[in-house]
Amino acid sequence: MPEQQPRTGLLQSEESRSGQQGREQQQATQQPRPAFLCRTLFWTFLKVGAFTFGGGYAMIPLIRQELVAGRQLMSDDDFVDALAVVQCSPGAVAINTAVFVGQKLAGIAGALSATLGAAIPSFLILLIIAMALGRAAPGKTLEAIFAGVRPAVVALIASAALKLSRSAIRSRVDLGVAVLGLLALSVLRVHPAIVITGAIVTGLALSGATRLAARRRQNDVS
Amino acid sequence: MTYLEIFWSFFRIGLFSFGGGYAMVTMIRHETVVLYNWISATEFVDLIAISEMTPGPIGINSATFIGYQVAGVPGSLIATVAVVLPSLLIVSILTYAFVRLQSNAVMARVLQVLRPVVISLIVAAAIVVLPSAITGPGTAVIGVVCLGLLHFTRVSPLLVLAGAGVAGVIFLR
Repeated sequence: MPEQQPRTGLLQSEESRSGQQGREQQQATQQPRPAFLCRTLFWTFLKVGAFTFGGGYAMIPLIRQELVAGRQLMSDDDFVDALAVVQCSPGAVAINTAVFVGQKLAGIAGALSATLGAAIPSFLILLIIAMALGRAAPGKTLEAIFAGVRPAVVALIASAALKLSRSAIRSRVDLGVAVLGLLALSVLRVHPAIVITGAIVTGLALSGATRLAARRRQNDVS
Repeated sequence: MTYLEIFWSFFRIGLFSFGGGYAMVTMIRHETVVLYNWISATEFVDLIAISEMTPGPIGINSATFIGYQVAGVPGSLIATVAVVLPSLLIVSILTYAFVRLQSNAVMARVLQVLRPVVISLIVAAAIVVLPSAITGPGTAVIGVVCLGLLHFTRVSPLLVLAGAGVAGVIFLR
């Protein structure tokens, strides 16, 4: 399946980098090769899989850094869209993001490479633990490590929201929508799938209303 | 037949676990403890503790762990593939449809509403984790410092995580 050109990603790389990376740049400005993409996807999501502590959202800054800021394979808009699709589907956030990003950039092969990368670390680690399971309770040091990592996880998630809000929230109306969504999720505890469906229906209704208004204006003129 | 049972059970878990993370725990427990008796209730609590301390999605962690307990390495492989398969199929199809529709005017309008909502989803996730993560002044300081580093500098998120772990050992023990 031919992927669509990321809206800003590849073009930016031409302006913002210089000199030394000339050769890489040429490779990037042309369509990256599928095999190269699959390898990139595999390694990116291997890293993501190995460091996803505290639920899938904490890995958003990591994926964004790799795909949007680093290799510029996607734009921020594309990335936010990915998160929307991911939330509508069952399964782990990390795996679903891998499938979406892989599929969008390099088709089925990309989806498989990214998923494999995301799943391998936890598979290997849990297999080793299951094989070696001595019933030793976790030590004080290990507990302290996790006590330190947990606030970092909150910081990671908050920074993802801050960074992505720059492209996702562009007007006061957008901000209002975001606040409404947050109220529904955090205060009213509405299921995320329902909140997303609500947003989709609202969008459809708005676009219908715009069309209707346009048609009416046309009728008035003629 | 055990292999087949493992496959179907974890396929179901993957298929019906909307919301990810802790939303999956109830489903996994029902299938593996109540329905099939593959592990005991106590072992299940241990599994959750192990999942919290190791990286990776809880669905994959439990599939690998329980699959191994029931049928060795092949069991763990089958369970892991089975729990990932629904995501792979469903998200692939959704992505394919999404990429096709992306330039559509109606879709553009829908995305305009959807994007701010995604931000609310992320903030809501941070709020869920907050009470168990920030438990006192020490953890609060770590959280604020990490957020500052992530937002104002270009330090790698991995380095921030590692640094927070070290800070935990130094200040929180």
